[in-house]
Amino acid sequence: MTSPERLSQWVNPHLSEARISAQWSRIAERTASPWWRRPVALVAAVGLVTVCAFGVVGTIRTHDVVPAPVALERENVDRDSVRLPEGITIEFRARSRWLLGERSPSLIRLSLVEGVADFDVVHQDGRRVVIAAPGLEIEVVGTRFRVTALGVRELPQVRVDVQRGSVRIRQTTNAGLSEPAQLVREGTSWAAGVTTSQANSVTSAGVPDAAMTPETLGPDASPDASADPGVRRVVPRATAKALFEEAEQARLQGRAGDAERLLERFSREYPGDARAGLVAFELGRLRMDVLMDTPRAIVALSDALRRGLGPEFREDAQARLVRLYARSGNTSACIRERKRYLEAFPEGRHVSAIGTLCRR
Amino acid sequence: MSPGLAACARLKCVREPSSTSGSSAVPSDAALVVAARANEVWAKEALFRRHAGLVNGLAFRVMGRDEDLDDLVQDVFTEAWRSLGRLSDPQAFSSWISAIVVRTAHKILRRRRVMRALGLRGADPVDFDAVVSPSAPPDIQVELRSVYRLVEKLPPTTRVAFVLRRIDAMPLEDIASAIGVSLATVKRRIAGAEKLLLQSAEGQGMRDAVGGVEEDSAVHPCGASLASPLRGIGEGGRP
Repeated sequence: MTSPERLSQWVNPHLSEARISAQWSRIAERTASPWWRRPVALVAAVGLVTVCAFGVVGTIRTHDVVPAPVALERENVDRDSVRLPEGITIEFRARSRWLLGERSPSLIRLSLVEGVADFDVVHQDGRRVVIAAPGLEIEVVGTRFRVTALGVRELPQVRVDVQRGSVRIRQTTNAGLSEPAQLVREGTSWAAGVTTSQANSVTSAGVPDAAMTPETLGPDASPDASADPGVRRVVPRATAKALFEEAEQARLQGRAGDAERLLERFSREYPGDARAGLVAFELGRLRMDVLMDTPRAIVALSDALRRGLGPEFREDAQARLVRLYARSGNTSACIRERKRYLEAFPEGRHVSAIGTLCRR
Repeated sequence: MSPGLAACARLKCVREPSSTSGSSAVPSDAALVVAARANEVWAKEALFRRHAGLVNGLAFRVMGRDEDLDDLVQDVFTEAWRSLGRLSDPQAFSSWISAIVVRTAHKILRRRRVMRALGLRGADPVDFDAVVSPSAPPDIQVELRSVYRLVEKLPPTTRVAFVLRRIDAMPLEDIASAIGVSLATVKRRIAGAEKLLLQSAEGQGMRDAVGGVEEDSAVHPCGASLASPLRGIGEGGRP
C-alpha cells in the first residue's frame, strides 16, 4: 500500500486564480452585510508599527456634534474636527476613518481605523473614554494625545503621543487585551510597546511632525520618515508584474491603502497591459468592499468592464455596479446596469440578488 | 496632570504572538482570525486565499467530483465565518476548517444517499480520469482508481472515513471528531473498507454492498463488490 502522503498529491482539483477569485466573490457576497449595519469593529492588529494617516472627509464639519448613540462610520478627506458634547474634541488629519461605537454616560468608545487624530479629552469622574486603534486600546483619563494609525490595517503601525496628562494602553492579543495596561505619560510617545520621549514627534502646540504626514509617508517618504524605525515605506517597483504582485500582497495583508495606490499606479503606467482589466476590477472591488468608497469603486469597475474582463469577472463586475448604484441612490443608473446584467447573464448567479435593487 | 492618575506603574509590554516578527511580516492565522472576528473583510479574504487550496483539495478528494466543489467551498467558508467565535485556538484555523469541510461533505453525501433511495436523484459516479492526476505514476493511478471504485459503493460515513485515512492520512481521532462518530466506529469502518479493497485487488469479485448497508452498521467484509474486479494487482500495487 502506498503511503497516504504520496496519494493525496495526485488527487487535487484544478484551481486557477480566476476560480479562486470567483469562489471568494460568492463567499463574500453571501456573508457580507450592508455597510450601514456593520457593527463597530475594532481592528485587531498583528504587529506594532508606526502608521501614517490619510485625509479626513469633509462630511464632518468643525464643531459638528456627532449623532448618538448609534455606531457610525465616517471617512474624512480633509482635515477636520469633531466636538462631542461630552467634552471631547477630535481633530482628524486627511482621510482618517473612524467609528463611534459606544456612547453612554459612563463610556465613550471610538475606533480609529486608519489615520491621524488629535484627541482632547476633559476628565470626568466616573466616565471612561477608550480609543481603539489597530492592535490596542487607549484609555483616557483626561488628557491631550495623538494617535497615528498608518496604512489601513497595515500590520499596524500605531503610535501614541501624549501631549498632556497620560493614557493607559493595552495591546490586543489572541487572549484579549494585555494586562496590566501600560501607562504613558505626558511628553512621551508609545510605539510597539516602547515608550520614548517625544524628541521629534508632536510639538507642544500639537503641530504634527512633518515626517508623520500622509504626504511624506509612502512612496515619496521623506528621509526623516524613513529614518524613523517605526515608519514603514512603500518602495515603488518598476515593472507591471512587480506592481501587480506587490498590490496583491498588500491587499492580502490588509494594507488596503497601499494596495489601492499600487493598483492605481499600475492603471496609470500600464494601461495597455493584458492585466489592466483585472487590475481595474480588483481596484473596484477593494474600494467597494474594504475602503467603502462608492463613487470611485464605480469608476474602477466601469473602467474594468470597458477594458474587458474574463467571463467570471465580467459577471461579478456588472453585478457590483448594480449594487454600487443602488447604494449611491442613483436609481436610473442602477436600472440601466441591472438591465445590462440581465441581458448578458439571464441565468447568472446574481439574478435574484440584484432583482430587489434599484427601487424608486 | 489630571487628577486621579496613579503613580507610574510597573510597565509590561505584551507582544502579539505571531509570525510577523520575521522579515516577511505576513500575518499569522491567529492574527487573521482575530481580525476576521472583528468582521474585517480583508482578513476573511486572506484566510480564504491562504486555505483555499487545502479546502478545495480536501473537498475534492472526499466528494470525488469537481462539480460539487464550488458550492461546497462556499458552504464551508460561510459556516466558518458564522462560527468563527467558537474557534478556541485561532492558530488552529487550518485543522478547524478541515473539520468543517469533512462535516459539510459528509452531510451532502448522506443527503444524496437518502435522495437516491427515494428515487429523487441519480447516481454520482466518480470520474476517475478527472479525479486522478494524469501525471501520477502508473502504480499510483491503479491504486487510486481502485480506491475510488470502492469508495463509490460505500455508505457515506465509511466513505468519508476511508478517504480521509487512506488518501489524506488524517488521524483517526480527527476523523471521528469531524464525522461525529466514535473512534471505535471509525476504526471498524476503515478496517472493513481496507479489507474490501484488498479483496477486490486480489480479484475475488465480492457481492454488491450498495443496498441494505445501514449507515450505522459495520461493513461486512463479504458484502461489497466492485464493478470490475482488478486483475493482476498484487499487494505491491504494481501491474
